[in-house]
Amino acid sequence: MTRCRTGSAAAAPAASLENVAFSYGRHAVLTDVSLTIARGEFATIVGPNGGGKTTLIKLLLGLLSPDSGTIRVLGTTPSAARARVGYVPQHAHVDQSFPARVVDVVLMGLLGVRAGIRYSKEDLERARSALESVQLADLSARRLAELSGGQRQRALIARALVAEPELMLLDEPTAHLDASMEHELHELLGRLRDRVTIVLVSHDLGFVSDYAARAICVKNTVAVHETCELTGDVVRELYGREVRMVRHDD
Amino acid sequence: MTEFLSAVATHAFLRNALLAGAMASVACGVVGSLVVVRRITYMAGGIAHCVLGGIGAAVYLDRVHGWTWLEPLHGALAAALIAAFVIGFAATRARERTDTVIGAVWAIGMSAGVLFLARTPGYGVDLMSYLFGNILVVSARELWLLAALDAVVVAAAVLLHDQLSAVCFDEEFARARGLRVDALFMTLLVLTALTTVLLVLVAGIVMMLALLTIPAAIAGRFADRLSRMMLGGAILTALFTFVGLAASYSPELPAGATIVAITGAAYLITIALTRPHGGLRLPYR
Repeated sequence: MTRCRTGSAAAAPAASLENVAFSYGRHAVLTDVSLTIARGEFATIVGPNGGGKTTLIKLLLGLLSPDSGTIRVLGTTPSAARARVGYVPQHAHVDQSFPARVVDVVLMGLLGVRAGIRYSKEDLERARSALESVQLADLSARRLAELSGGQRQRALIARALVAEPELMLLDEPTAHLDASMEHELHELLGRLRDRVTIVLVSHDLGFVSDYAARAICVKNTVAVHETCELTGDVVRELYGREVRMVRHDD
Repeated sequence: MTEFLSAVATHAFLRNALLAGAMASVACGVVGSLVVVRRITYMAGGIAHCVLGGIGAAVYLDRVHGWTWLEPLHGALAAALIAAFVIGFAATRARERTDTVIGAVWAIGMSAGVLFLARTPGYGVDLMSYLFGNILVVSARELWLLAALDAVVVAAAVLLHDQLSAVCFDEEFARARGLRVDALFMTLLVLTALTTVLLVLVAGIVMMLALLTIPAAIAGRFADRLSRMMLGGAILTALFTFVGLAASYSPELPAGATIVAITGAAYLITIALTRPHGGLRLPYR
């Protein structure tokens, strides 16, 4: 196993972590994490459950603060960068019975960016174009509850896109989706990679090796691998067992 | 019904009751919807029961210590706000289990109220009217206070609609967008406290929860957005209050209990006849 380069040293990378440690109480989740994600990169985060993938995303969002070390996002602190970062949780995380149309959910992505107390005409225009880029424009007046899981996930991606982020963080967007929806979503992410830096937590190693040049492996600390090196040994070390490298293998 | 309508024309107390019901309905539809979608009914219950402590203290201070300027509604308001802050603090900051804190606030408020009223001569009857509602004895002064509470609740809900909606839908995302989630949640609890006080007058401490949540829940089955759920909830609350008052008048039934029974019946019928996200439940589907 060779340790790969940790990204090019551009003036202000999309994100950088230096010797970051984080623990919940006495339980150390991440130790000594150093990592750089370049602008325009399509970075994937893989690793076992409980290994710290979601914690890493929350640190980048500024929802959690590290115990030690420094985190810079888009050249500033995570909380100062919030307006320029888009966040996509798993669709199962949101309450689908909430009384809102798809467009209402997308507009929520503009909070903290726009001025004024009501959504303006331009805001609606932006929501419409975000929905177009995830191919949900036809369903914009539908209730959230009427959507399939894959459509709901795309609505959440549109909610992140609407504020035109420079960096998008996605936490297992393909979880709880069936194989065809997962494939659809992967294609969508493949199209978005030209517009925005993407950091994606994924459990799908086949997808990771198809789309990303590097895999950020998180298991209490971080090791970065070229995806071409994602061989049996690396995977075994990461997950502690044999994992079959088959697409849509869960 | 005709008898009730002619009684409304002659008796000021019935007009006051209808006015109080209408005003409570507005706050109830707006805040009830937020309570339902954010799933904080138990917090609202804790705040409502704590209100008895404030009412008891106000009545006691008035009767025993001659603080005649102090109305029961003032005590109710103070207790509701204190309860909202304690519960809000427990939910956002303290490491204590939130439901335990709510249960404690709930019971401690009740016991304080019972103790104060026990030490107040001749107030056994009032305890019942606070527990089960006394909409027929709402005074003109109380109506003004209700109107003021209503104005505060509606103004805050309109101004903060988008933020509150985002926080209720997905708190983590709202935080990632830089919204002040804890402050907004605390605001929601304060609005809940104010609405609770309005509803305690209509349906009493024990039954107000039905009015806060059921009309909003019915509206939520049909509404395609939060603002419509709020509007529908307000209209339904006003309707149930009116029908309940009218139905209770001739047979001299307790007004609060009649209103809540009608509300509950409407809920059961809705569940039986409609699907969770709107549309009739048809036998051949």
